[in-house]
Amino acid sequence: MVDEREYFERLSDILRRHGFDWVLTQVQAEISEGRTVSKEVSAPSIQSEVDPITTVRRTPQRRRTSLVTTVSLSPREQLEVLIRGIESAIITRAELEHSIFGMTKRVNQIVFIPEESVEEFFSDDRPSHSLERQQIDVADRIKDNLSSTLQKLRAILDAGS
Amino acid sequence: MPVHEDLISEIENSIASASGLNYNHPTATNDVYENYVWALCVEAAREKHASISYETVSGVTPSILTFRTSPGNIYSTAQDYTHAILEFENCPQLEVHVGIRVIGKSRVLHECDVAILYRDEAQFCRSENVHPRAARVLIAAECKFYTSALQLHLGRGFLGLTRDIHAKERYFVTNSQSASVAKLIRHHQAEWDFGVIPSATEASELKTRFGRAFRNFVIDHS
Repeated sequence: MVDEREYFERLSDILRRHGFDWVLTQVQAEISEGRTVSKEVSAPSIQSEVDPITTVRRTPQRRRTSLVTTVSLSPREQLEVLIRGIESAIITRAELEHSIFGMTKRVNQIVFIPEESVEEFFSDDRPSHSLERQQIDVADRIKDNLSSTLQKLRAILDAGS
Repeated sequence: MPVHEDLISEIENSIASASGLNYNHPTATNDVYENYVWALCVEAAREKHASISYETVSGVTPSILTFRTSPGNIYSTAQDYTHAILEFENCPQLEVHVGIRVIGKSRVLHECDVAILYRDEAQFCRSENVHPRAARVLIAAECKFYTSALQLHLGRGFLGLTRDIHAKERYFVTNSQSASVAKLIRHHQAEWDFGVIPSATEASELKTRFGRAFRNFVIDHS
């Protein structure tokens, strides 16, 4: 058996060490929500308001019906949420940059600056950031490496479960 | 079975390299995502034969494109922000902005992550220091980049926005997925575009929808 919890902890540690805590926060939010599934239950039928003086009260009938309940994610599902989080934060991010520069052909740099900003570009809290066309090749390499490594990981998990 | 240390090490190398490219900045990818949807909009106009140019608040053609990291005022001169100008033959010019505030029907300000509006309205707003009126916004897109499933409150926020700034050509665009948010938005007869990332067909579908809005705009003015 593959220890999915161990993988989850190790990958979470790596994300924390390299400043991707925000990915973990979003991943944890999804895990906490769980998954909704349908559940067959015998439920009392919902009756409209009746006049208690003119109407004879009967015990509400119970009927089989499909309602919704929430279940926790399995360790494998939790690990999959984390892997998808890593893919979004790094692989999709690299794809976005590649696509943006593909659509803005004569542009080599795009900067993002807060409106109220008076600080120097790239100050300590780094609210400003930029995209550089010359970084696309590096980003593509990171994307390709990570993509193939995560595929290998999924193959191991599928084989071991 | 123990973890494969070689795999863990390879993953760590990639994550460390991505951190070196500033990918670990908590809000940067959302800015990049808005910029991507902005570029998709501009590309859709180009494919419908619009001529495209870039301009800054001060009226110059930029060599570096500058965008906001959070919604602001279209007339702000705090930074020389960039917008695109779209020119369809025999039609009023349009401008494509990232992160501007717009006045809704209730006269409350709303934030549009990507907004396409009439250029005469944008110029008027810049000269008078006022916010654009929602009725003069042709397309508005709410863009959300998430590394996990969308939370329900984002769907609720979008529905509030569509009620106050006209429901037509209002888009909820995200890289992520959520069956419950989709159900909520669909129940209220609004539209959503989930899973919009460059490698997905959803991105070309969204571009087609933007293109259709431009086609209708051209017909309306012919």
